[in-house]
Amino acid sequence: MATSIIDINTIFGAYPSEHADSTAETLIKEMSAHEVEKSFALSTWGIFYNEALGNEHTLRAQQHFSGKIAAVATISPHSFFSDTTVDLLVDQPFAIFRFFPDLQEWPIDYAPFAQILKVLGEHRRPIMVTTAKPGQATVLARVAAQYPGPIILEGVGSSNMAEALCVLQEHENFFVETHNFKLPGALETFRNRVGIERIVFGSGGPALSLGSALAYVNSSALTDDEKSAVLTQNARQFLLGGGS
Amino acid sequence: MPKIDVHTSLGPTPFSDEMSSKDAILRSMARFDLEAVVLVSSLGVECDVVNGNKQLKQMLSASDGIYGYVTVNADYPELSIEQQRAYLSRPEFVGTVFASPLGRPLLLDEVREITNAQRRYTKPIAFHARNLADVNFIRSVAEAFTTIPIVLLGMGGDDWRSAVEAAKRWVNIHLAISGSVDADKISYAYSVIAARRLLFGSGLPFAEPSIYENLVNESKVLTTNDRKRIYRQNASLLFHIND
Repeated sequence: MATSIIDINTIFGAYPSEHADSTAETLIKEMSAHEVEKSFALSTWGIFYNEALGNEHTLRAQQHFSGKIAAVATISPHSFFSDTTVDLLVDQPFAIFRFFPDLQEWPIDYAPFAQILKVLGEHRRPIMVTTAKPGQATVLARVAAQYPGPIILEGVGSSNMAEALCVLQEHENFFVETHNFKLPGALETFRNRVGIERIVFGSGGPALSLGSALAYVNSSALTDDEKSAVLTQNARQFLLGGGS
Repeated sequence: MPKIDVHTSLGPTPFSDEMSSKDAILRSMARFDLEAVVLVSSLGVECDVVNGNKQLKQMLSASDGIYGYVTVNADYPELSIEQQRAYLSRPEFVGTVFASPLGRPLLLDEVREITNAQRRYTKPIAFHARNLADVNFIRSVAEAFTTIPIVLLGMGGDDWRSAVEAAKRWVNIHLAISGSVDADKISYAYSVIAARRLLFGSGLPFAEPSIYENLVNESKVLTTNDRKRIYRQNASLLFHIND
């Protein structure tokens, strides 16, 4: 199926534990091997080391691989001491703001995170939050109930699909990312229950296999148009404003 | 390339019934190009060993390539040994799988009696290996029972490197590649233990086989022969399926 793929979940850089080669160059090579047109990416530094340096690292990669990488920012609630942190970031070309409660060990129901959402909400920026454990999507729906921008649930897998479906049914600005989908039939169920436009493709690559994430979507029973929506159009619509 | 999937389950998922009846299993096998499957009874490992094994027996058919593991439960050693006796002499039951207790790994002493009974059948024992704690437990079993082939279903989850290290140390450990989808998992395992003890496994119906087929196909270090081994030859020899 010929389509220009957009991958909304990629992370490049060194990991604190042993991982597959995940440099930005590897990411670009993988994208090219799988005909991925654009990846929303951020540096591991921002997650594990220092968000300011990580965000800078991400912007440099975006500039270096012009057009291939859309920069993703991250903010750690642990080091959120001033609203200006958010104000400075929204002035820069970040397409999504990502949050990693598990990797950074903070609860979603957390005052600094709520404050970040409040400030970021004024700019209606898309956010993506890891909600891989049961209960996290529910808490996020409550904490971010007033958030006016798109919210992407990342890491949804077999143990919390029912929960993610309930959250998406209740909140129209919530979307689901696919990298942790493995259950046959899950994409079809999400399509039937909340609409194909709420599903966006992500791989977790290059540490996780981009090819396997694609194989899951391509071997599903979705029609070609629906696959194209998941792999390209939906992300293009709400993350790139319909353009490229 | 035809494949033998050594990690499949009998039973429905919230989203599909594609492994819950014999017809459905045959359709799934055709869809995913599976020459044979080895089924775990979901009913057996989740709660009911006796009815799980009984139900599984109805589904198995060597001529159709549908094989299974007898489920045993460490909390019921006598009953489990009876189940081994009742089913393991049948060619379509090609191994044994232990039910996992909720929220904790098994302990060697809990499985010793049942594992000892397995010796007389010369068939492998499989364990679900979801994390490091499971891998460490399985390692202790492999060490205590060096003549019994041990299969790790799920390859240790995110702790697959520990599973590979365990397989390096104990040659009776075989790794089903289901579990995490790290891009370097297959190449790393190959570099440490070669292809001979890697088995194609997906977790179907809880995971799509195409995900793991892609991992094997994308590994640049594997030759065509290595892929053939992983996809079918290793399982064929280990489980005596179409060998």
